[in-house]
Amino acid sequence: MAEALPVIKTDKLTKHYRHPFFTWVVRARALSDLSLEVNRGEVFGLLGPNGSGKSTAIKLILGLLRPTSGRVELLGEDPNELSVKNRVGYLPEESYLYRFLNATETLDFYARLFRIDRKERRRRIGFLLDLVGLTNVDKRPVGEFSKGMQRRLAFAQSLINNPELIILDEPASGMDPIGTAEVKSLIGRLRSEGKTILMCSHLLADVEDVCDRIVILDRGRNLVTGTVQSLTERESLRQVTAAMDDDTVTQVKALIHERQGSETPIQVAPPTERLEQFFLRIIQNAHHDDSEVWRDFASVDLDFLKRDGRRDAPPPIAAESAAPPGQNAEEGSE
Amino acid sequence: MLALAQIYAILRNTLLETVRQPVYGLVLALSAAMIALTPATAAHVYSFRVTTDLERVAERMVADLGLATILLAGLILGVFMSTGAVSRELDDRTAGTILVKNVSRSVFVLGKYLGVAVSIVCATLTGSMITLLTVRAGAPVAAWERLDWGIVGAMILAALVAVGTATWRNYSRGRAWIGSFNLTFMALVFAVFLVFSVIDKEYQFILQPGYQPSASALIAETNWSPTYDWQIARAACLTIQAVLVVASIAVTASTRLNTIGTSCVTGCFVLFGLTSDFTRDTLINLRWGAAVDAFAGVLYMIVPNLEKFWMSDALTREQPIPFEYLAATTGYAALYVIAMILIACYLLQNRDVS
Repeated sequence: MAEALPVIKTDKLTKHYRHPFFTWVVRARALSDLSLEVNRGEVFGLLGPNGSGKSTAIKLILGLLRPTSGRVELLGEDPNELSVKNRVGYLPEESYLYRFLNATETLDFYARLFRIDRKERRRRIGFLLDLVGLTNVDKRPVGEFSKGMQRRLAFAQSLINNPELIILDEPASGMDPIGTAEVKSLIGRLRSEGKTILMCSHLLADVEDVCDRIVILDRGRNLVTGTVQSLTERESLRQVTAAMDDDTVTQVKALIHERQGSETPIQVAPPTERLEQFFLRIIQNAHHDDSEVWRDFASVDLDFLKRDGRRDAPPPIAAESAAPPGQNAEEGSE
Repeated sequence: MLALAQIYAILRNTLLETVRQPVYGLVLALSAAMIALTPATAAHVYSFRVTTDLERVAERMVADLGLATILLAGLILGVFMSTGAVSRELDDRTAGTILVKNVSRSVFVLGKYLGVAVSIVCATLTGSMITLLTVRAGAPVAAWERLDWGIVGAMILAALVAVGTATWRNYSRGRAWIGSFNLTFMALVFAVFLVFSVIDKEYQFILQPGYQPSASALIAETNWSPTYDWQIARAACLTIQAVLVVASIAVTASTRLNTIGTSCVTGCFVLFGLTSDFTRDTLINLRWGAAVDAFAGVLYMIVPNLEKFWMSDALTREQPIPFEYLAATTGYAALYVIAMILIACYLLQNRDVS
């Protein structure tokens, strides 16, 4: 069954950086024997400290770097196959954009690379600028954007071709907590539309919020792989949250000591709100006009990015511009 | 068809990025000003003696300096824009955002070169048109009255309108000043050139039925054209080709080298290219052995012979530039550029893009 095929599969993927002239001298071992599979429809996280090989792994998966050894399969094919790249979106670690172009021109350029026709380009650009909250600054040169605004625009360009696989390298880098919350909400919404997402980050709280499975890398090696739940769960402990007075707490403690022995350690403390939620609530309360401080994408219509976005679309005219699922029909008909 | 659409998209993007860069505007404005002000220099040089012949000598000098300015401006833009389009994109990693999409590396290189080439042609063509207009306006070595004030006024007006338009667009629409200025100025110079290409020196409309130019309306060198000295246009065309050849070398070098490395390699090619015959003959005449002779031969083959594109000497000696020569040199330039771009595609093919 096609659905069972992994979207990304690496087999003992290795990348060593060599000296440009003395090629037998290895200057850095960026990645060693990385084997992993990313399944369709999941959000997969690459975790690790700086220099652990996360970005190298992503660039090898995208075909930007040549592996020293090992294999990569992207959507079942070699990552250097151009037809595969039609179905992939990529947000790089830094927002590498053209500083003399404005936001509309930037998205227009990337849309033209996929030969999306003018009418559809305009529709997608308008939708994506609205999605990332840049509609009001669409004519400003990108060089004048803040880092957060550039990040939003870079996110938008990664979605312009309605990819089925989205690779995000530090998606919330340079964003404020509101932007970060929006990015996480958008990632969740994209997953609900069947997109597969591979993201790398060293912001563990963000990864924990959105990822189904993770791999932890260190010095280019895979230390552990699994679901966030299975890796973080402490099986011998149980947590019960309920409103109760001091007498009830005393009785519960006594019951536990009676059943499991008086040496059993018990911690009793009021549960705390997560700092991110607290921050968003405080900011929201400060806006007395009830305006939306941050955008929850859970119920937002994703237009051409929807799972059934291609339902009304005729097939592309050229085999070489084979459109990914959800890509609009008018692509390739310019 | 997809590859063509992608080449066009990259070309367009490179062109937009290039013409909005301050250095592009600076080189364009400075070269235009230098060419347009050359007659004033000629007036000082020849003011001690006034003859009709000296007027023609001064015109040759204006053409000569105009071509030199076009070459210099083109070389600066060629090296700077080429390294910016490929080497800096690889360093800044904007190239990565393109190459992860369904764009082959060959398409990327070709689109980048064409974008740089179009932007260079726009700037150098503007310089060429200003040279032709300036030569036609005349050098005021005899008297200021001999100057064609219609052309002078039109060029000053073009510059002022470009400044005004750029300022207005910047103020009212927030558009980049330099980009608006560059595009408006180039368009207006082209318009002025077109207008004066149908009006002779006596301000007669040449397309009217039964038009016969008077003897004084004809350009002295060609003795047939009542508008521009088309020999200068041919020389300018060859100069632009030389710049395009150099740009192709810069693009090729920048696929593997950084900005400084690219500039050094391109500079060496230009230096040897401009002295191609001399360098080969000197090395062979040294009689240092077969190895040196072979090296001289290889160097001569690899380095473009830029002397073939430099027609200033022919203009000074009042020798016509035959169409056959123009066609042959254009073919040579085209083949050299194609070879360079093929090498650039090969060099980028196996390069890691971080």
